[in-house]
Amino acid sequence: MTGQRNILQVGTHSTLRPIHGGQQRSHHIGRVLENAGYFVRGIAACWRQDHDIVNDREAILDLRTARSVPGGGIGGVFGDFYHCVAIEKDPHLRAEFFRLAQSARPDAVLLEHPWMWPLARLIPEVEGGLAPVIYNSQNVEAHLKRRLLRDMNLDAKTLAEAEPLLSMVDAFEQGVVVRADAVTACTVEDAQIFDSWGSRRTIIAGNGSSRRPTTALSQPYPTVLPPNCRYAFTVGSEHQPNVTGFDNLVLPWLAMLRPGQRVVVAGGVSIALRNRLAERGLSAALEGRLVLLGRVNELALSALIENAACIMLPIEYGGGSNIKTAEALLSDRPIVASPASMRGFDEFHNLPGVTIADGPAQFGAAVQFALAAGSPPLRSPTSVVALTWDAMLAPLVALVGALIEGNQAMSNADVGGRLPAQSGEGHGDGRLSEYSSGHRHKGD
Amino acid sequence: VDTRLVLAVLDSNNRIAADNNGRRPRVFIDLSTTLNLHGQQATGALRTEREIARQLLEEPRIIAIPFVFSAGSIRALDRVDALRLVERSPGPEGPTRLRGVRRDPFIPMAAPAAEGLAATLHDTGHETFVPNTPATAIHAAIPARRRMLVRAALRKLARRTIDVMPAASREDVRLVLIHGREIVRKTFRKQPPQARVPVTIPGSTKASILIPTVECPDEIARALNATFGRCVEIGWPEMGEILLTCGFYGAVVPLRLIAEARERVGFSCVAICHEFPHDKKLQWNPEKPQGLHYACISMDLLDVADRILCFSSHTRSRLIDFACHCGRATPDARVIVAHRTPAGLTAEAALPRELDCRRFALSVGPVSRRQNLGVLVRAWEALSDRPDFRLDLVLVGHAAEGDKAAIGEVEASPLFGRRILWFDECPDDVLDLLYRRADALLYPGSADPGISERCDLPLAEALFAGVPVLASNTIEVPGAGFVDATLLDPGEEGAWRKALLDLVIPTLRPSQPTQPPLWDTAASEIVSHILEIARARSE
Repeated sequence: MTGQRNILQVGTHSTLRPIHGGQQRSHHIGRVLENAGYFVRGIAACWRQDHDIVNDREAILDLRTARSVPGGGIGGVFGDFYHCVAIEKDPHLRAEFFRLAQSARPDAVLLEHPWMWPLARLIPEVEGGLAPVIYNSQNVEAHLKRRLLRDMNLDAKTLAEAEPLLSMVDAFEQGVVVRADAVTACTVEDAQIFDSWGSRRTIIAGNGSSRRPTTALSQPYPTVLPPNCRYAFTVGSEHQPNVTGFDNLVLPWLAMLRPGQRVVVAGGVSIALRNRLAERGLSAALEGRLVLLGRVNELALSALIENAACIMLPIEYGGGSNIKTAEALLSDRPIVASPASMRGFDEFHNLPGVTIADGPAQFGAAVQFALAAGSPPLRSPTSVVALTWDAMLAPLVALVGALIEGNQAMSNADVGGRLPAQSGEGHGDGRLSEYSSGHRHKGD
Repeated sequence: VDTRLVLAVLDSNNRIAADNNGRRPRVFIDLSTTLNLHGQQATGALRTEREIARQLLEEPRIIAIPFVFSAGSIRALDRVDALRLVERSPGPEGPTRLRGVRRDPFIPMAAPAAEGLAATLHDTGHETFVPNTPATAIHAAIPARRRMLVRAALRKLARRTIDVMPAASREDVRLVLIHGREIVRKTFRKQPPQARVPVTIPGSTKASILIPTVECPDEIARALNATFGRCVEIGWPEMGEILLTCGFYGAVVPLRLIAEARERVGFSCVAICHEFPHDKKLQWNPEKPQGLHYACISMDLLDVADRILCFSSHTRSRLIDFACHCGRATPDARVIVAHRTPAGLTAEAALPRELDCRRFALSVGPVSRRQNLGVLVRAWEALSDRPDFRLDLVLVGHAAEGDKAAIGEVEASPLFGRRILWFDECPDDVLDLLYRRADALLYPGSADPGISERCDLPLAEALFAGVPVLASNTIEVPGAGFVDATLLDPGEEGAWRKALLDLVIPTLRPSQPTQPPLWDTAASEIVSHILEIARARSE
């Protein structure tokens, strides 16, 4: 790469101190691009949190200062759809957005989620065709929102109100996919959908994780756990699929846990679960079986994973892939996973210690077996090395390079392990549409 | 805390040291349920724990250490305090409470028939009822039946209003409605409300005891602090010692905590299961989350006990079925004969005045869907207009928490407070009197065997008092061989109506009182099991 290349990351959440999965993905994308020599700047249009970091690297357009932020209804499902509207309608925030974009002088714009597209497309470098736009998807938005609405048990009237919004989100995202210079997807399934919508280029840059430090973390249990307790562990944000998955795949067999066994939950999902269980009058009944830790810091999370008898991945739906799955696979703990939680990790299904369990009965039996069993089978570090963020995001780095450099040979280039080497197979429309060996895009 | 040191301190009161020659097992007797539910109607686990503990505290073959759980720790009770705790609920000091009806001044609920009724009355020794308060002008102006309907409609409206309110403001609305009702009553009746009498523990130096809720076991600590200043925290029983608990119901006794301590420390545990009502297939149902609660405590019972003592073979077989279904080892469950002793009558015991000169049938137990009281309510509504049906329905028992449908079914009846009377507080000796005066004990039970409840305790007590029993054929009647009960299909409402009509025929004679085994026999059996386990452990 010759000279400094600038990348502007535009999204609807902050990335410098990542908490939930979306933030983590954006954070690591920024990190690997910086490691690859790019100069990355970020604009996050979001509700600023106390823990957020604001510096030259990333500016936050705080929605708390906006004149009005529509979209708070229908359980907040469409809140992010309106972030851009709020910025656009507030002259001060809108001006600030373009000031920041101008100072970034981007050679490429990375759109985290589709929502900021109406403003991003007006950035002079984008309008002038000087800076390609890469839509970095985390899932297929309309599909996920439809499922979220179904899970919320809304009344018919609210659902009727939501239907046109779903159609709007669907059309909006399709528009972004068609107009962006390239789209990155987390899974093959998502990529197929984007291609069917007419994406110019689609690559898969799945979610990964980092190897956690384990030295000296064996045995320091949180005090809420009894000595020599064996526990199944899960971590997740308050994202609805995490809550629903726990409800459907874990609650049904919690009563079966033997003395000295626990299910331990960390992260925002445990806060949501605590409220939900209290509403149902189950808090006292589950005492001694379920430990809800709330949000924990990274060191505590490492210790919890290191000492767990098994890691549970109770996810039933959702778009994209799950970072927690990569995190679990990178540990050497036994894993009990639902089929949906393994989206995007097909090649790791048969690793030692990985059990795919469908339905609460199978899931519960597998967890109880793991709780009763002895030492877990170790996975070799080399078998999961492809799950690190650096490896998973390598195709994205290559794509950015190719777009910036205007390398039209990109379609034939090896942009990482996730893109099969299809040298010589060019695509007439210039798309990068091969996802996995033997699978070819409709346009081919 | 050094457990042995603490126990030594208690020796002076508990006479442990003098009796402990090393041969008699030390038995920790759990009284958490008794403390936590003190003052409530003593049925089920509460009655069982109380009656067994009273016997065992005086049992010479064991060294009894009464204790309660408090915030996960064990607090030993002074023996004197423990004996006070297990005394039967107060007689003359503890008033009955008639749900949904203002007691003072007394408003007549059903004008007794002027003629014919006296001939059918029991010989109560009381004078025929004469209303002691004249009806107000409003009462005089509105026909009784219309008043009754208006009251029922208002009750229904109020309940509906509360239900439709957002959860956050529901309690406020409820209080507003209650205050509104009081304002209306004061305005028209011009009588001050009657003050509630605090629940007292006989002999306690404290004026009253804070009745904790079942939901929060930590409340026990507050009750302890308020009442039992001398109780001290001790550790778990040691290896070879035995913990006895009846705390299968509610969240009062941390069975799971005991199970984990038992595995860690090595003491033994004997659990008494007076009934096991759960269907063996406890499927998770988000619409009925309480099922998970039942599943948890049922599994805890299986995990906690070296031996489970059941009051019937029916209970035992359900327990074993459940264990098998859940993949647990078959529990060491033994049957001991159901034992009942009604509380002794005190000289001061008297029928609630609302029941003077009335004939009534009795139903005892928490008002819940498991009781299936709707069958009785509908039967009364169908029969109440008949001039020959001079029988009222008396319910005794607290409202089952969260069972709004079952409670509403009773309270929404136009006969509620008039021909259907619900005492949600009733001292033991008054209950005993009710048994003796009742024309029958009724237990419709649920047609769903998954939720039907064994009610052997009230059944046996009624039979002990010589009262005929009409019960559901879905329940197991206790103590086969000494029971005389008419069993009916809970779904056959016509059969229930017919049986109820038969009850009011003057020629019907109550069955002969029978003498079931007493609690001391039960206690003796339990001690035998304890000794057997202790022997096995020492060998």
